Amino acid sequence: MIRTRFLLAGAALALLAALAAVAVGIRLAALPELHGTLLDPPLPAAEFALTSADGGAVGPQDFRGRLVVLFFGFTNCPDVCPLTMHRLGSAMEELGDRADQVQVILVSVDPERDPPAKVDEYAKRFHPSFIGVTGSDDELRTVTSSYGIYYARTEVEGALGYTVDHSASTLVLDRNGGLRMIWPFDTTPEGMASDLRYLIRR
Amino acid sequence: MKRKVLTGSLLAMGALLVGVSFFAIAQPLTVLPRMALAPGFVLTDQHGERLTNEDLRGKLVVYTLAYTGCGEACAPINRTMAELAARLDEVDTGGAPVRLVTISVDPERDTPAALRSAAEGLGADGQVWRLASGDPAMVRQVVGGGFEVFYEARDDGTIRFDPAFVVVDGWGITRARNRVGLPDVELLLDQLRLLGNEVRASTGVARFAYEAAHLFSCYAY
Amino acid sequence: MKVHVYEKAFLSIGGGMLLVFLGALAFATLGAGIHLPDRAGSIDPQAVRTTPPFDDPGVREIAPGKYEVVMVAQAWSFDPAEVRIPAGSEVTFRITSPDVIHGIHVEHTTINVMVVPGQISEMRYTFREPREHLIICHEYCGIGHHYMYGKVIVE
Repeated sequence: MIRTRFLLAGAALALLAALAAVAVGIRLAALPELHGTLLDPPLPAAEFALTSADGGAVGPQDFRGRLVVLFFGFTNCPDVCPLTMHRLGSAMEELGDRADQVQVILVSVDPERDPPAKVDEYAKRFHPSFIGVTGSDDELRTVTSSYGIYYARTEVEGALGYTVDHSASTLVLDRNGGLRMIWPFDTTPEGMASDLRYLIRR
Repeated sequence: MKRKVLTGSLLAMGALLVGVSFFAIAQPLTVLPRMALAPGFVLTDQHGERLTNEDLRGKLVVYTLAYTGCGEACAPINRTMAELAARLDEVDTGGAPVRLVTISVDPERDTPAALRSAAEGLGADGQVWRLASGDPAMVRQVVGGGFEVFYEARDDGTIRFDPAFVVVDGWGITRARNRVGLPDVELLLDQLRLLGNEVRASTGVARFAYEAAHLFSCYAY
Repeated sequence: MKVHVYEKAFLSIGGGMLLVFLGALAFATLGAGIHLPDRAGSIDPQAVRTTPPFDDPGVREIAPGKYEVVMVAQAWSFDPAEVRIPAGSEVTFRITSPDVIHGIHVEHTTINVMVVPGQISEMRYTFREPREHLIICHEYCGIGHHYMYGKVIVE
């Protein structure tokens, strides 16, 4: 006859195992409808130090404790960049008072035409908290490659002279600086806001 | 009544414990680790066309290193790639296309023309298997900084490099770095097969099983 | 069965601690995603000296600011025994052993891993400050184990 007491002890141990399994289940199943590729566990994200408008060195590591959203574009971009930046601005509006948990950094891949002050001014047009940075071609090559982003200067006809083809994905880093999410180009502002809310909760 | 409830709950949790342990020990599902983000790059292939990592998004890619002036030293590498190219239809990748990219570690001398004549000799069709080269600084960033493989020019003009076969999935994440010696074609096919399993299981309930495998199981390779 | 009250207390405390630590382990692995370093590849231990990259151990610069130290830990020395790198570099150590299990720990860093014959151990660290670090073997590997050390000199 098993004594109730030992039954209790055994149940407690099995309860622990069950809780662990349930925790995993919740972690997996409670993923809301996410709009980008979630990297779980997060991948290491490279630190960098690019030049900001006031001449200082800025990188995602300066914003630990907040989510960092990285987008690579340039100010003369006809469509992709303004659209993405505008959507990011709308997403920040949607976050409301949670928006201070998110820092958006725009990195310009066109250092020839975009000095840091110009990138920063362009970024702030979409939301006052946005920061714009850029760097030399060597620095940009290292940074973009380490984030799986490419950029290539392409000659075009017309007054623009050249444009810069680049990856249009937006990257999201978590509070500890790990790469958590990659949004494809056509992610909606509502989608971004919802994903950011999920990441803020985590 | 109390005893029945206790016994019942104990058995139920015991079953859960056994199930989880079985999954962890028997490892019915194996997955490749998600190692790092594959490097972004812009290179030129043997047709003189631009090849970027965005072109390869959504595809399973095997990258390797070689150069046209290599000769016998690269013969085993090229043979492995050729055999892999020929045997790709043995692998069910769940609809994800497979691409092979050989990056030149001698970007200064390997122009698209040089790559084209090398490609003909190797049987690199330019569709599935492409040879690519580019700006030396870009190649250094991709191969050295991104794939973390060392290469340098020796005094006699040959290039010293570690052989590497890097497998990247459709999300741009490096899943395997086969960097020691020369991998078997069977090993590469098996790695592609494992990635294909994940592609097939990327929707629905099966996805949870694969995410659980990432958490509980030891990684394959 | 009569269990003395002190014994009950002892068992409860022990059992309680067990539950707490198991819970912490479950949380760390499943909740926080913390995992032990996995092997970074396999190698035939008898062919270490002829399999690249271990046929030529040393420090290599793979990209500006990034270095790779390919090291062979054998009884009873590290090859290379001295590693010189500039401050601020991100270094990846790749080590294997052709003979017995060794350990490697670079003092004052988080590089701390076993070196098992047949497997390759890989650890990364960014050396920011110029200083000297001792590389020690912390797994008993034979009669000369206490002589097995090297240096990382950050310039």
